[in-house]
Amino acid sequence: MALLWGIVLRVIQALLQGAPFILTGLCIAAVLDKLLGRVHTRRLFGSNSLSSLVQSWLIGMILPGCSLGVIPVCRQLRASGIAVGTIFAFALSSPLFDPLSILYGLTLSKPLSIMAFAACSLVVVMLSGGLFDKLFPGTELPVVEPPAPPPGAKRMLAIAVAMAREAVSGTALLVGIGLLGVGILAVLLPPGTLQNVLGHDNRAAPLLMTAVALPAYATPMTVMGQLGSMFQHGNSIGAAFVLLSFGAGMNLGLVAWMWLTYGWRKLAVWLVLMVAVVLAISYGIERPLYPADAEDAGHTHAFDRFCGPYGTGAVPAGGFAADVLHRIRMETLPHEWIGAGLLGVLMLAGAALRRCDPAGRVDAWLLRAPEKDRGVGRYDIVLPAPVLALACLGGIVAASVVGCYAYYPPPEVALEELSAANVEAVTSAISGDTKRAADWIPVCEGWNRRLVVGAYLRHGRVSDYHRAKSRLYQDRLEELEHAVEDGDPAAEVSRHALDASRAFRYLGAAFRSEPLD
Amino acid sequence: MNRRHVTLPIRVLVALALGSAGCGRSVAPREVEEPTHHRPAHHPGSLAAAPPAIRARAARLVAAPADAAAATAELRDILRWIPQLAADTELPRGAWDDVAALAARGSARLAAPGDPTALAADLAATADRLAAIVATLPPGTPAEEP
Repeated sequence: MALLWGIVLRVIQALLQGAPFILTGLCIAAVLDKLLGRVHTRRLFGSNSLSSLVQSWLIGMILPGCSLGVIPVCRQLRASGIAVGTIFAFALSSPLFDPLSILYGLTLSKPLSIMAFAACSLVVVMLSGGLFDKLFPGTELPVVEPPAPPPGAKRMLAIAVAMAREAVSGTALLVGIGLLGVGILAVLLPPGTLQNVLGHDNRAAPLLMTAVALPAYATPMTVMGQLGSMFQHGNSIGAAFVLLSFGAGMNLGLVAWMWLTYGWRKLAVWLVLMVAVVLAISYGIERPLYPADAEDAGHTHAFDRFCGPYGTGAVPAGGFAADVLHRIRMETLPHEWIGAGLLGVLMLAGAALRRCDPAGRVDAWLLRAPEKDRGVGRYDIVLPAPVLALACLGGIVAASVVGCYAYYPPPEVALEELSAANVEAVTSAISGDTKRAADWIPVCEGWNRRLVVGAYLRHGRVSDYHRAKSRLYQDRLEELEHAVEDGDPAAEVSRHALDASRAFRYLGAAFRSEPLD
Repeated sequence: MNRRHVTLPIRVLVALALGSAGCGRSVAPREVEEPTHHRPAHHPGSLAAAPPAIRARAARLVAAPADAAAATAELRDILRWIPQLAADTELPRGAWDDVAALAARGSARLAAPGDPTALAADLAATADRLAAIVATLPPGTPAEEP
């Protein structure tokens, strides 16, 4: 039962985290399909050349996405006849970073490492994509441009219909396969398996991370948080790069799509090339990028979410179902609920279309131009569809930047939230309610990071003083977390809780009364 | 290299292959190994305890040349920890910046040793300046880890 509920929890967590990105991916694919068109899509991304690899990498870096969200986009790129190497370059780079995670990365103790990782990802794309296109030339397809919907409301409706249909197409199956990888890991890796094996001194750490990260699924933000934890705890830098490349960049669904579309031989060559290049870079950067001031904590909790949540024979108080619901309620962020809700609506609409309109009459109607030209006003300019497409893609990027300001609020707001969470964590720990304390400590950790990133976003810099206060609070929270999880005596837990409370007081005073830059 | 570390990736890969084929659980339960935030014995525990810790090791550089390498390594750690120890006090930003700069200068001085007696004297002077800043802290600041 523990295994089954572990799978349920991990798959639901992954689905909720990925929902906003899957929705974005569906939107991008529909815009490319209905507005930009296949010919222009191919021109935008390029195909079968080194410059196309750079173009695809750049577009992937700018557009927000995750490895599940790129699946519909890859399918659309394939329909546009683009060469395999170029599609793979986009598929690998798009899930690595988004504005939220880039900001998070820039406020880590070693932002240079994040920049170096981004540069290394370009090397991976260029080398593996370039070699692949050399080995398999002529993977482009002839482009047949389907009829475009007429300007006006029908054009917009066509995008919505395309999204709905795609949401219940092969994409849904591939996303399901991607999520299955998370479930498989939850079965194979008991709780805490990866806590002690990814140290800087373990030369096999990048190799081990490859084995785990390939089937795993993580959003850019999750991976960036894991990277931050790895830097802070003195874990292997090479393993961190592998995590970024495969944990964020790949999943089983994407691998399945490659297999179904291109066959096992091309898939195997691509995987071998990727793994070889990524591992070579990982071992190459291990020493140069290892932070000189890293504290080797000897373990990390960063990968606990890749492992099963429940130990064999352990039954949470209240039962598994209640615990799963409780964890999901505690961890899921508002934008994830919204993304999941919209995705659900889209899937319902797609299922309805599939059932009630299997012949595609709605799509045919959307393609028909109005019989009567009612004329257009002086200021009612008909924009070419590709212009609208680029505006839509720019809008998605702009929305993700605006989203950063919502996700990382001003310091005073973050401090208010953090204060409430800190009270919950500390009072629960002192009163002996360790389960409640264990729930609230990660909330405190999250707001502590968002406090620093929010300050950085608005002031362009956060002083070493403020970073040190944030780091102290993080350390104290981790110590409290260990005391709670290890079942330390009540007096010991209380001492750690008071230490965390004091660190929060210093943090609050620093952000309220000292200049941030 | 730890043998367990070498074989674990292979075991995980095999387990993944078997698991995907429906062969059930094949990774052994992990060994009981409680993770803790390891704090070395020479960690001062608080900012107030740092100046005497620096003085003691600076003295060892001169008094026990055979022990100089160990003392230097410990000094390097202590100087690196000082900004974080200072963060766990009510020092205002200006004073914290001074402490961080002192620690950085001490680390740089330690990296270019030269004459042990001169090095020890410079580090003792760093400890004195640090102690002077610590003295400005209000009473009740945590002096030592329990």
